[in-house]
Amino acid sequence: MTNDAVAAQSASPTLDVRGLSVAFRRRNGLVRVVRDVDLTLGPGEVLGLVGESGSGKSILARAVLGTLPRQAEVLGGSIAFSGGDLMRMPPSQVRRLRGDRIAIVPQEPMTSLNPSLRIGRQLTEVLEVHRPEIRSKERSVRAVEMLDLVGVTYADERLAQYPHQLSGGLRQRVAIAMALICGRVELLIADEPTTALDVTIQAQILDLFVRLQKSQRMSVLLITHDLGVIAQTAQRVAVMYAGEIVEVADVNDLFASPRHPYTRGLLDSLPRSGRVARKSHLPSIEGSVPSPSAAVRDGCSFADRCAFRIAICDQQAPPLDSAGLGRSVRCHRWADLTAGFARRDALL
Amino acid sequence: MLSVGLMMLTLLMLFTLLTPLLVPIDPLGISAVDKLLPPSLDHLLGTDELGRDQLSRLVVGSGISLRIAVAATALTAIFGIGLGMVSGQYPAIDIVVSQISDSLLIFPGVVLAIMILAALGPSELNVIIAVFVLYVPRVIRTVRAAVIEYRDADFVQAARSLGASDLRVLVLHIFPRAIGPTMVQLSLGFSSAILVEAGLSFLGLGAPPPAPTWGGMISGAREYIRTAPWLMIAPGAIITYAVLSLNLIGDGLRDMLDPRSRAAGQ
Amino acid sequence: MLSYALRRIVVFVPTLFITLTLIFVLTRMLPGSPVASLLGGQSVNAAKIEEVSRQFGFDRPILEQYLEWLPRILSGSLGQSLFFTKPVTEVLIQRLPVTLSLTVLALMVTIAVGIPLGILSAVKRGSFLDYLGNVLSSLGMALPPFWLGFVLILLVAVGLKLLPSSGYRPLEMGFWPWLSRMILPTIALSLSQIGLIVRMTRSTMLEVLDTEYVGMARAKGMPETVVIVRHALRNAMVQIITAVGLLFALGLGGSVIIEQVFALPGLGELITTAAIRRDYATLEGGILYLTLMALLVNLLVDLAYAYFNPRVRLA
Repeated sequence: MTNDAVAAQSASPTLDVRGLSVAFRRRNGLVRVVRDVDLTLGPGEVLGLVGESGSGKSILARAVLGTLPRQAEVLGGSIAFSGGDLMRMPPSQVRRLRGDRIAIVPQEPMTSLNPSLRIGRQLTEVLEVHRPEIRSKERSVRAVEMLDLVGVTYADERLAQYPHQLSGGLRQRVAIAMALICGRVELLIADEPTTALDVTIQAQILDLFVRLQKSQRMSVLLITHDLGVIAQTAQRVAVMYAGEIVEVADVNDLFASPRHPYTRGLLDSLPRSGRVARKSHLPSIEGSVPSPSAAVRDGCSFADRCAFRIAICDQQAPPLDSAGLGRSVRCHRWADLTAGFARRDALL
Repeated sequence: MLSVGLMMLTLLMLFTLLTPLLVPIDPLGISAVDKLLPPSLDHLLGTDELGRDQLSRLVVGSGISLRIAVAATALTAIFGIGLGMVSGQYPAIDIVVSQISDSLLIFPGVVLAIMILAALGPSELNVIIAVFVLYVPRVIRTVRAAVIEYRDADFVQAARSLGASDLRVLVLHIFPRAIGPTMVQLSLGFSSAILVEAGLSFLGLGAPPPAPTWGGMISGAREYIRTAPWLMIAPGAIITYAVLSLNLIGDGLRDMLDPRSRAAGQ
Repeated sequence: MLSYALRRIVVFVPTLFITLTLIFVLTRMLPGSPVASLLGGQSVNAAKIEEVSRQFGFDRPILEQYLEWLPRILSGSLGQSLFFTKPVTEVLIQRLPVTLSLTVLALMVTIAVGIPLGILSAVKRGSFLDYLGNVLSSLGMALPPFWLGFVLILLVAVGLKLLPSSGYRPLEMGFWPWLSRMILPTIALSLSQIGLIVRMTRSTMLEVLDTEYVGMARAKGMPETVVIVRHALRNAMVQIITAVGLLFALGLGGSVIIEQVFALPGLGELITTAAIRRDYATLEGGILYLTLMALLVNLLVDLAYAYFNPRVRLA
């Protein structure tokens, strides 16, 4: 565990999610998609939230933003953001935080910008709402500065353009500029910010991210299913599976010695130079994430796909155990498995 | 919605088929003594200016309306689906078919029907033709759009690479995807057919008298709007009922076939 | 934008051409010899018929007649009305204000009532207002407009004696005399259109409210009214405008019947009576006017479509 991360955790957190549960209303009742999630994000910290599609990452992010879809319902929990509880604030107050102190960089730059509004308008309207003291002429100046900062070329000409005239990478830069334009973001939620981009553009956007995060001293909740992105940017990682957090750890610890069998599986399915012998194939996790609408089973939600399943896994849901400094794992067998994994890694 | 619509339509059909078994039906029987009678036990819906029983006329008119609508919709389905598939598949044919059907769509509908009926003369068959010409462009467009959307889809390419002929691909692989929107269009066309037929008969361009059409009955009742207003109410109410039931079926079909609109319709 | 407008106009040329051809073919198919009608049923000898035929070119091959007819119509020369014994254009110009009053008023009412109701139904989905919009639109689309017209006459004009039951007064005779006679026809014509536009607006708005850019506008902390008007409605307008264009064509068709109901001396009434009187030149001219109006509105819709859709405008 690095000193940075320890410091981040000991200071009063930027974001503190406690016992959050979110469900979707369906015809046949409620379907829980986020289950009893605890998550802490310190000032200036980058927390990676990893999981397969359908694991509830994006819904968690939207719950924090207060923009859950209509059919979603919060069953319980609290979301503390710099002192106040977002769950208990009037919606209008949460709205005033959005785009100002809490911002999001969306997943799909191609569809997240309004096709019928000029880029300039989409940037300045944020200032109009959150910084009414800035006069309208200065707003455009600020928009150009922001575009410059995120590496958009010909920034002043871009203000008059429409999203369809920009490439995907440029649009994502515009989206980042839009998130940061008010200049006082404390919490940035980045929902798969590079997934929809070409590999070369991905790298550029990630670099930009790291640079901006340091210069603006923001906390970042980085949602992704790409462990490579996590390795490059995050300090801590939370792994989500079927709506639950199954493991939280410092990024180096997680990559060095994953404790949960699911995390282990995720890491094993990454190609690594020098690790996999010729002729052997890339391991994968059997099965798929259980559908949230499937009957809630007793016991561990990963049991069906777990190679290390024992009797208790089917009977009792494992708690999120503390597993060392700043680490926690949701697995009945993490202790004995860790020893076993260590032996196996030593043999390879 | 689908079940409510189907139930309403079934009731209308039962009304059309069973009423003649329950009460004596004589839509044409003229009686000078019994003219313009208000509703009574003898004449449940009263009588018109020639003393003809309104209920009888309504029942027979119901048969005419449904017959015309069914025939026109069937024609629309056959030609609409056929032309739509062909023009979606072959761009050369598409230029001609689309241009003509788009022009027909711009033409104010009733005017086109009036012209067709003025040219061909008022008769049940010609009303069917007019309604068909009015609605076939919509079905062509719907089917054509579906064919174009799926023409280059992976599953179609796969079928082609296995050596399937154009016809086979169109009928077995592409058409099934177009069934949903086409059914919705056809059910809406069906209800519009009833409205258009009523409008044309009202103008005196429908099935010629003494055939008791719903629109014709309203037209005949206009002179007695002050003295015998009941003559006007029943035919209009039954048209509304018929169209409403068919629209409900159309909405129900759409909800069933398009999950997105079902979520939206909650 | 200008080049887009020019391109749209070019695209309308074949449509206009097909429409004119259709008018020609259908009027030539009308039963009865045009010559007999021209002579007004006078008993004349064969020589006279031949003379008139030659004079009007009816003896020539149909294609030749068509090639002569098309440029004449395009140059705006519509011929003499048999019934009114004056130029068709004069008759049409006299009738045009009536039809325009009716269709434009109905379109205005439709837009003013239908679009806001559709938006509110979408925004307040599942509310009483949504329910009301749904009932109103289902009923509006099912009621035959001409019958609704009679019911309105029965209730408002005959029963309550609030408004005149029929007839037309030109605007020059005063606003109220004109409007009071347009109110009932306008309601009768617009109710079915309102039904269509409410549904169309509602479903389009629901679709747009579900997009990621609207989600993004909320995530930026935009107030709800800004989200709905600036972000959602602006994009929904593209499709709503297309629907409005189709509605106008529909309204022109509907006006033909409504004019009969309320004894309004408009183009529709003219066309129906001309068809029955076999007054071909008048019929041709009336249909041409209605069709040109529909074409013109479609062109305007295309331009409005481009205005709301930068991808089209800047293409």
